[in-house]
Amino acid sequence: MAARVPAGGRRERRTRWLVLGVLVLGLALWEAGAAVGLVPAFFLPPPSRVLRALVALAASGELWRHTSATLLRVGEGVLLGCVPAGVIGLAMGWWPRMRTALDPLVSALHPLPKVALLPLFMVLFGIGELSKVVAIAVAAFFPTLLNAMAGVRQINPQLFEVARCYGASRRKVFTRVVLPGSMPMLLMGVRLSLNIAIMITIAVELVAARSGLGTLIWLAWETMRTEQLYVGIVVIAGIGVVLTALLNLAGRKLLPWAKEV
Amino acid sequence: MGFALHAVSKVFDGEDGPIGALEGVEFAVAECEFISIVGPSGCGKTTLLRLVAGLIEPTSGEVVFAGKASLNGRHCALVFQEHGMLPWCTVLENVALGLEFAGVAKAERETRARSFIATMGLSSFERCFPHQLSVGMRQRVAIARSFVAESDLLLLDEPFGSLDAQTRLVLQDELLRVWRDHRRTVVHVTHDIDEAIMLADRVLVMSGRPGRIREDVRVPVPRPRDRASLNCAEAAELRRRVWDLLRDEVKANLGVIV
Repeated sequence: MAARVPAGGRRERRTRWLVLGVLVLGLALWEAGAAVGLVPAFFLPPPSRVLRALVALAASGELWRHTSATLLRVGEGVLLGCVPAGVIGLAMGWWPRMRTALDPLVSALHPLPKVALLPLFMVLFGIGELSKVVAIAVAAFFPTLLNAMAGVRQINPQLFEVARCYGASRRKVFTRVVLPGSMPMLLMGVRLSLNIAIMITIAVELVAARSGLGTLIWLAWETMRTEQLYVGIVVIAGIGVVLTALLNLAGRKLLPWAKEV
Repeated sequence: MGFALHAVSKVFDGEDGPIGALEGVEFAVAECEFISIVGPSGCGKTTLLRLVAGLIEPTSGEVVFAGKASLNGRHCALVFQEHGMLPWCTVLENVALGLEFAGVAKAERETRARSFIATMGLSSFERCFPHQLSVGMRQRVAIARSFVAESDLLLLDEPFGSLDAQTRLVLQDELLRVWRDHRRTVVHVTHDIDEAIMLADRVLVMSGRPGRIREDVRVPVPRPRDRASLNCAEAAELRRRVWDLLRDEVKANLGVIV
């Protein structure tokens, strides 16, 4: 144990430097290419110009207005989608009958492109925020559902037998076996849901919103301000990285027994 | 708690028709008796243990506990070959698990688990998770859990089957010592004849599938036993007798011409 941790840590640190190095090198080449005219600055504005645009947008408050709108939609969508998905997924994993009953429905609904459902949701829920959040929630629903279900099913059946022999109540089986046993996969499902929620949020904002990073990108395209377009892309990527890192951190804190989350 | 099996048979539905796992199994175990079941692989030893545990029902016949056919409220402690620990629970939580499932309050169950862990010299590992321990250590924790649970019945399914030979000997001695201090009814399944003779009051030899009890022998070695006890003439005679019974079954299993 003691000998393994530092070795792994060293490798991790080296990987981190490598990633950072490639990133910096790429940006430097891009910047240099734009400076000598090798890269057309209109299509690929140099990093320094994108950064300047980012600072300007941030200073005017525009950036935060769009970012907060996107974050709110992602948050609402994930909450609205993942919580019921976790509950139903665990139930489907635990009770074969429930799985048999709902599995065909899941198979039918999962592959539907959720953006294509937005018009339907707008008919049902109006053209306000609700229809957008519902579309995001429906997209976020499935990865968590499927992972929660698979999470329960991959639990070693011996553990259920141990609980049964010791006379564990259903509540104890849930808190001691079902929930912790499925948690690593459930969290992985939430991570996938989060990424899909971000994607659908941006897509929805591109077609039907007055604020949000998708809107920012669309407006930038309409007014041909490519550097603002890149600001939107960079911020979306940043949101993805930060939220995933937070989720992984939460996983490590919550599941100290799991080797890899 | 004593129990008896009356004409127990078990048939599973296989892909190519029914598979007879057990046929007409009949034996009784007295309160606080230690019995070992030996038999060739695939003879239904584990099926037998699962029937006693109430995890599966016999196709015919019955398992009767202390005179009652009712199986309600019967708790037993299972020890598997491995992987019986909850990976997300520490050693302390795992040892206390039987008590937790039986509804014992946290403070009480942890006190009892701690004192048992101390008698086994495992105290410094209380806060470890199972994946941080060797297989041998995990099996010691499993044994501790089964005794702490104060179940009526201990069911050990090849508890030392995945250990190396030396570790196995040490854990056999430890199991004997713990059992001497905390008498329980134990049903122990193994394919190791010496292990059965070392531990058990009675050895039940099973036939190949469908499993039947071919022989039910009392181990003529007085307790307390140690490694040297296995060298006495009675033990040697018993070992030879059990092996004579098993050899043909094992050969038949392997397709060796007898």
